[in-house]
Amino acid sequence: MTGLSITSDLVRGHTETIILAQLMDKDSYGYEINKSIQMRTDGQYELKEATLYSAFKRLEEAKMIESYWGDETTGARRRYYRITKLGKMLYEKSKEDWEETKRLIDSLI
Amino acid sequence: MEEKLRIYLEELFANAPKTKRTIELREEMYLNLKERYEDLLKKGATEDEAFEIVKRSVGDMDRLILEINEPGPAGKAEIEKNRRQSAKFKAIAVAMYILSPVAIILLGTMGLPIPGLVVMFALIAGATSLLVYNNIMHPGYTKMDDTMVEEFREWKAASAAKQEKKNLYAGIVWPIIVVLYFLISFTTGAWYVTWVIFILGAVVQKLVNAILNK
Repeated sequence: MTGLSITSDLVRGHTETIILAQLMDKDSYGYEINKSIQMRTDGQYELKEATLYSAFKRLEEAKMIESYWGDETTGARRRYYRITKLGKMLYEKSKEDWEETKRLIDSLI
Repeated sequence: MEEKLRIYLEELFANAPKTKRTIELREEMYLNLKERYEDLLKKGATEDEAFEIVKRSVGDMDRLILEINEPGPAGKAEIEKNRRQSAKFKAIAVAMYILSPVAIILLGTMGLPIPGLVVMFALIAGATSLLVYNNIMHPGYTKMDDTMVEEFREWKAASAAKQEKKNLYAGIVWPIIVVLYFLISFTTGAWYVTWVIFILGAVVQKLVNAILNK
């Protein structure tokens, strides 16, 4: 777990892209998104609740995602998020930018 | 245990404005934290351990609550646009009020008090309807959310609107008195006595105010 805080700072700049990436396959809700982030990183990374919701708000205002209330048969209704066409475009663009950055840093350090 | 989580969330949101947005957010968070908590129990954590981990996963709530309630860029632009338009309408109306007696003075000295009167009333009518239209289109203060503070502000805006109505009325009455003064003076030529109209006008206005305030 040591050194994670430095890594976290680097990752934080990509919070929105990370969320968009989780929504590319299917609509999802807060905890499920965080769970899949945890799973993909073998438990090394996850978003704080507050970070997650403020990113949702920014993305929704920018029309990158939409939210709707799911119809759970059991228990309470969850708020689901769906990626928009615009969001998919942003995701592709961010991914390209990241590939570029990665190549650049790799050749420098 | 669910109760403990509920209480914990109540504390987190204790200082948050009671808006639809924060209540929805609290519900959303509650469901997510509950699921996380239940998952942790399934993985073999004790209740206390699970609760601690859940608490640590929350992060900076104060900032989130601030962010969640501020209007987005689209909302802000809309408010600014309305404000500008409303200011423009008011400026035009005020200019019309100020200019309205000019017509009667000018045309009156040219011996045409009646056309002067007509122009003046047209200007006053135009300015008043502009203000009324503006008040309907852009109410003084619209509630951003449903908190007590917002209700207080709305009440304040309402009493300000009442005051404005009174001012509007005074703005109409005095030009009329001026018109009457010129009209009667020109037709009767009794300039030495017609100034009494102003004193009578003041009395009438006070009376009307007293009745309106009841």
